[in-house]
Amino acid sequence: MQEQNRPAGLKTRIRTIRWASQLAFLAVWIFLITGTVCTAILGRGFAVAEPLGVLQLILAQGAAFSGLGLSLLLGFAVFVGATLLLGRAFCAWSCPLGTTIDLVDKALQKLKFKPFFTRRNPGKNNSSSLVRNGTNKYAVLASALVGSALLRSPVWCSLCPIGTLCRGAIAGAELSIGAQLVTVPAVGAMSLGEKRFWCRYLCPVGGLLTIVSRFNPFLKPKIQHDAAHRNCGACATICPEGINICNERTFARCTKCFDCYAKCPFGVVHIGLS
Amino acid sequence: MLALYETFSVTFEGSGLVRPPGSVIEDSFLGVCIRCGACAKTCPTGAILLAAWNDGFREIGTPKIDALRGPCERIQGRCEQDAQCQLVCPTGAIQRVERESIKTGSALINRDRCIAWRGGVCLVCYEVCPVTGAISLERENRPIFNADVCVGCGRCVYACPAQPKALTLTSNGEKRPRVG
Amino acid sequence: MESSNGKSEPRKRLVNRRTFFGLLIAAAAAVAGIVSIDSILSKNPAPETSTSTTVATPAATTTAPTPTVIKTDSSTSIASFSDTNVAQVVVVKGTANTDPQVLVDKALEALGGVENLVPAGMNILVKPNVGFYDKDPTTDPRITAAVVKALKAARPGQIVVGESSLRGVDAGYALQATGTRSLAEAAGAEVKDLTKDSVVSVTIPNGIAIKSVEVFKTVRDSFIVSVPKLKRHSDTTVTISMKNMMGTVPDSEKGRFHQTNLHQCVADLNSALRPKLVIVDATKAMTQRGPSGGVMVALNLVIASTDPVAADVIAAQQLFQAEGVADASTAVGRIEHIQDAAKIGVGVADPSRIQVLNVSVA
Repeated sequence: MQEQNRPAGLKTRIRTIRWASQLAFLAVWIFLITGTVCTAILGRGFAVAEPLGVLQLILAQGAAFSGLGLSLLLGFAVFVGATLLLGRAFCAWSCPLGTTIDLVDKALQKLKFKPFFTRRNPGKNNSSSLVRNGTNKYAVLASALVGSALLRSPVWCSLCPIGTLCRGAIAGAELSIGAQLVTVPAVGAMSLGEKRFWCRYLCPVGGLLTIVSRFNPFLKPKIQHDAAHRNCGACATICPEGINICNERTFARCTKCFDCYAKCPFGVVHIGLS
Repeated sequence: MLALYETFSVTFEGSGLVRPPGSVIEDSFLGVCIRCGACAKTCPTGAILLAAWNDGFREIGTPKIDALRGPCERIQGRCEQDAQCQLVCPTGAIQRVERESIKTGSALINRDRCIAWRGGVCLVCYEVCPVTGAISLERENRPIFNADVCVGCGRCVYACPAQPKALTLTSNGEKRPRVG
Repeated sequence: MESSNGKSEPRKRLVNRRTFFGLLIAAAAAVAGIVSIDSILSKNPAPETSTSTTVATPAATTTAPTPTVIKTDSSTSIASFSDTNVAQVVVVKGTANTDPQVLVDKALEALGGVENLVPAGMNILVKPNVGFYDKDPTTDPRITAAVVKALKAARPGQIVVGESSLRGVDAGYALQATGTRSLAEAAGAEVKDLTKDSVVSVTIPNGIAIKSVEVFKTVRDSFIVSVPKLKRHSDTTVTISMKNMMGTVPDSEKGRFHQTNLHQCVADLNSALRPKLVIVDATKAMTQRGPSGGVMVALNLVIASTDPVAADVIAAQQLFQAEGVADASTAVGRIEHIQDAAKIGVGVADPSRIQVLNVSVA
């Protein structure tokens, strides 16, 4: 094994820093904001507006679209801008559902449970997953958008497990929606199949952010120190999106979780600003 | 006064959910409400509940007033200056409407359950009603409900001591603004 | 994107994809099933059994002679309570500009001085009428504060100003919106929303409609000073010191009173939790209608007594006289809860056995 060029501390600490971010945002989205991560007014003219929510509103209202209001528009612009700069980082660093899923994955890991769809022996040319990463996310996304246009209401928001989590702290919202007790545990149960199953295969928000991330030029994992590179495919096993760095073209679905960077056995992964 | 009425759409056949005060007309409401639950979180009396499957698929997650949980205090109480729900609504599904123009619905009495109409001594609804003339008393001290005057705050429903309750809050007669 | 090699791979993967979709559909079906069950369950709440309501007994009509007025001196006080068959009520009259503290102080002085009325070291509950958010139907906070200040002279334990408002009215907000909280706290009392208190059960040995009642713990453990607002009432004709005690029981009990027999229950409640001192805020009284929406009339009076029934009788007479009711005494004799209370020994309702001391203050 060659010497690492970067301080070992950052490698081990990056996951901890990400946990801190995830847990902090979890508290914020569930308890501290009034609303959900899709749309919430934070006060003093600030708002957060996630793009799927905005698109649904536009499609639901159609010609009668009443506009978003300045703070929501700014919030939307900030969200999209952040995705252009940081890619799908929301998924790995902020999303409350992602945090919940990570917690479930971690618990299963501690219990030495091997998820069903994980390939036992991923090779350099095998993906780590038995499930093909196809167009499921985009199918869900398309259904959400088409459904909103047809039913003239943002139907995805009623069912969305991310929104369900955010509404979780409202007294009276829990059982009244019913979905609260079902959708979030169902998503958690998907971790029995594969880690971050929802995020990878189903989440329409993730799908939308992936589309936007296509235009993000930064923070793409690269292999450096070609001499040390063993082509082992471990990065694909570690990556929650199953990305094999050598084979990947766009990195649009990369959630910038830095797991490949932290856990590459030969330390050859580099994530830079270029 | 006439101008105010023109900006509102009056639902005479309101058999739907009772919406927070200042909610836009139902057709638009379902397209503007983002189901964020901010209003339910903020309501100081806890009157707002998020609708469930049995309220309709399109309605899931939208706010409704459940008078059994608490009254709406827009007319009298903690929301006299501003409806808290309206202040936090991010999409404008709940708009700012002057107190005098608020009508979220009206109360409906079931005389078979009402203590007074069954010969007992009770006028709690009359006592708590914040609007003069919405409830009047007839000779035997029994309450008469005037749906035209009632603003639908639900305080009488919440206060009614009969078991089961003699009052329900309906959306009949609600006055709701148009979008924009 | 993953790529696969080898013949065995596609077949293996095909099976797994089917399993995957099968699992997904099974999960979706489970979700739909559970949610449908939940929606069916939440659609029809279990019906509550209705309790039967007993019809109120018609009011007993008694002709009431006018009360004997003893003195009209501004400085004399009644010092002895040796004659237990006679109740003493003090009526202090001021002007629109009289300081409420003066009215209250004069009333307590005329009753014998606060040190003789309240044993030292006791925890006191001052119970104003703060059943609404508005000022008209509620005890003037200056009167409440004046009572607190006057009681301090008796060197009590703790003074709590407490209320649980009508069901649907938030007592905490009412105490704040009426100004009671700030003025009472400034006078040195702890202001409490009683609905946050724990609930205890108290027996009513003399009770006719109810034999026990649940009350807030603070009420049971305190020396009760009822500080009502003089008002008309749609159900009980008037609401004064005894009806004011409704604020000492939780909402469920308030409901039970209405379901049973409101007049008798008010009397029964007062027989178990008898206010030992009553100071009626009649500075502005609500006439014609009540307990809200009536016509406010400035009477500039404070009416005090250690007998809640007698206090209510005299205060009601004042109210009817202000309204111009033809025979005020007879009208008072028809008020059910007052007569019911007298019958079970809460106090004296017979005006011929009530001594009234009128005190004028400039």
